[in-house]
Amino acid sequence: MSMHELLEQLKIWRAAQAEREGVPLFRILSNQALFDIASVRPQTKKELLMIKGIKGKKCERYGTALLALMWENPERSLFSVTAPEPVGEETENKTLTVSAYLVLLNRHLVSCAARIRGEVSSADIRDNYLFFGVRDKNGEALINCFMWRRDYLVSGIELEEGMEIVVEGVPEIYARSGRLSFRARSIELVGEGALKQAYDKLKAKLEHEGLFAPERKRPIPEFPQHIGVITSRTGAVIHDFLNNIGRFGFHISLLDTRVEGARAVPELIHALRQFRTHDHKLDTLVLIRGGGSLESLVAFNSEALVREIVRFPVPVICGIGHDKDVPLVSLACDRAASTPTAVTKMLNESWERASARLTLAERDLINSYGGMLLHRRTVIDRTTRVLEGCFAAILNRFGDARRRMRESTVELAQHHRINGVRLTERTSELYARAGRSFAEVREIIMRHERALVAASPARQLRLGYSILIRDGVVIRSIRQIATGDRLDARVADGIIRTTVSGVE
Amino acid sequence: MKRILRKRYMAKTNLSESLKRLGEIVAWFDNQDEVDVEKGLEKVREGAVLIKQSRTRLAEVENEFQELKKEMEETETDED
Repeated sequence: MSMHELLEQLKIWRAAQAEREGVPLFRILSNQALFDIASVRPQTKKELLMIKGIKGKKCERYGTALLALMWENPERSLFSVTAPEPVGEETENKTLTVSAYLVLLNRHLVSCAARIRGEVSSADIRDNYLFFGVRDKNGEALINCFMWRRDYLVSGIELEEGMEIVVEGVPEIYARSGRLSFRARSIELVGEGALKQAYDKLKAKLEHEGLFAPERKRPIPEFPQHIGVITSRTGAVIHDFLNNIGRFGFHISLLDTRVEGARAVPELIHALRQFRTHDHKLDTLVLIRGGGSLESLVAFNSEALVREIVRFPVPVICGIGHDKDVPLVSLACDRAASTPTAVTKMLNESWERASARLTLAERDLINSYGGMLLHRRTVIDRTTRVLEGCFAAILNRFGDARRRMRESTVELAQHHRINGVRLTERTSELYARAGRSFAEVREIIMRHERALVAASPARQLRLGYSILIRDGVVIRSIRQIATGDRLDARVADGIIRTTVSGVE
Repeated sequence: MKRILRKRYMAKTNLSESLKRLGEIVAWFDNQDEVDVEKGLEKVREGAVLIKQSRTRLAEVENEFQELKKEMEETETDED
């Protein structure tokens, strides 16, 4: 058998083993490890341990099976020349070792995977695994089961004697004991009553832990864009979702999972981990499923799934249809709806609101600026009015002044007139008075004139008196003259020249 | 293609920011005691640009849909 053929065989074995354990392929062995095994062909566990990726635990678990494959495909080993007795496909003619035979049997038993319903007869729970028995109700048949603790935890059931369950898995003969055990990959509760009880119990527990508390809820990001969707590819749910999500340039990545049945929980958890570990730059995760009864929604009441959702790094929206009891994942997620359409509304919300906000902002902006301009105009108007008022006041004062001036003029004119009249009156009075005065004066003058005329020297002269004058001086005394002086004697009608002959 | 890319870029960087900035601008107007018409006009201009850009982004953009392969399948096929 060529190396390539051996590699194919190893891959088939790995797929079967993964199926048996209910884990992804890489959890069994990496591609590189398979390749190395096929090229090196280890013949003993010691040699197997030299392959990278095979440590003690894996060697313990898969060593026998892997080595059996080597023996079935004998070719030269890089490690050893003493290959054990070859084991071929035609087993009828060949003698096999017990382990090789059990490997062969177990390979055939893989095809006997089944779902078995029965009552728990016993349960022995160890650190990493558990044993339990399942029997028919009438007690007539029993099968021993083995289960890894990890799978047991995912199932979210606490086994109790008498509990009615469905186990799903693959039968296998355990080489050490030679006993057949049913390797259970999942356990489910049977019957609404039991489910309801389990639901209530787990709900109370998680509630007590605060996993449903409103303060734990994270807001859906504004304008979500990168959306991870976990749901079944088939069915109306994903179509409803895609038809109703707005055309806002969303990037939607879908991971197809089973949403019902025994494989649902591990697949859902696996999908969540895949989204979490890979760099998908999600801003929101959506988990959707159509409506159903409590029984069909068992997966969404799984404790393991709830915990996975709670620790998911971005907000999770659950859209799971349900009857009375809200699925526990819907209680634990950040936003919950009961239809895929309702979930799209949550995602569209901020985008649609943005449109309204824009319109509002636009209106506010126009109004605000309009208000600003209006305010400015009002200020201008008011200032104008104030200025107009001032001018008007000034003009008013001019008017006043003019009026007063006119009034004053009129008054003045009146004064003038009055004064004129008075003046005239006074003048005539004055005249009258003056006239009287003149008459008096004339009288006085006449009197004086008369008196004067009476006293005039000319009159005296005419009466016979004369005036002696010497050199123009009137002689009033004899002392003024001497003998011989020439004197003029004035008489009324002329002058008589004389000489003084003597003085006595 | 370029246009689509620009729109996508805007979605991530601008829409949220633009709306926030628009809110700030509107609030600015509300908080003005002193009326500064020039500054106001500047704000209105900025707002108008933001509104236009945001409207462009909100116009219909087709979604992208992809179905991811499950990891176990990827592991199986990546070396084949």
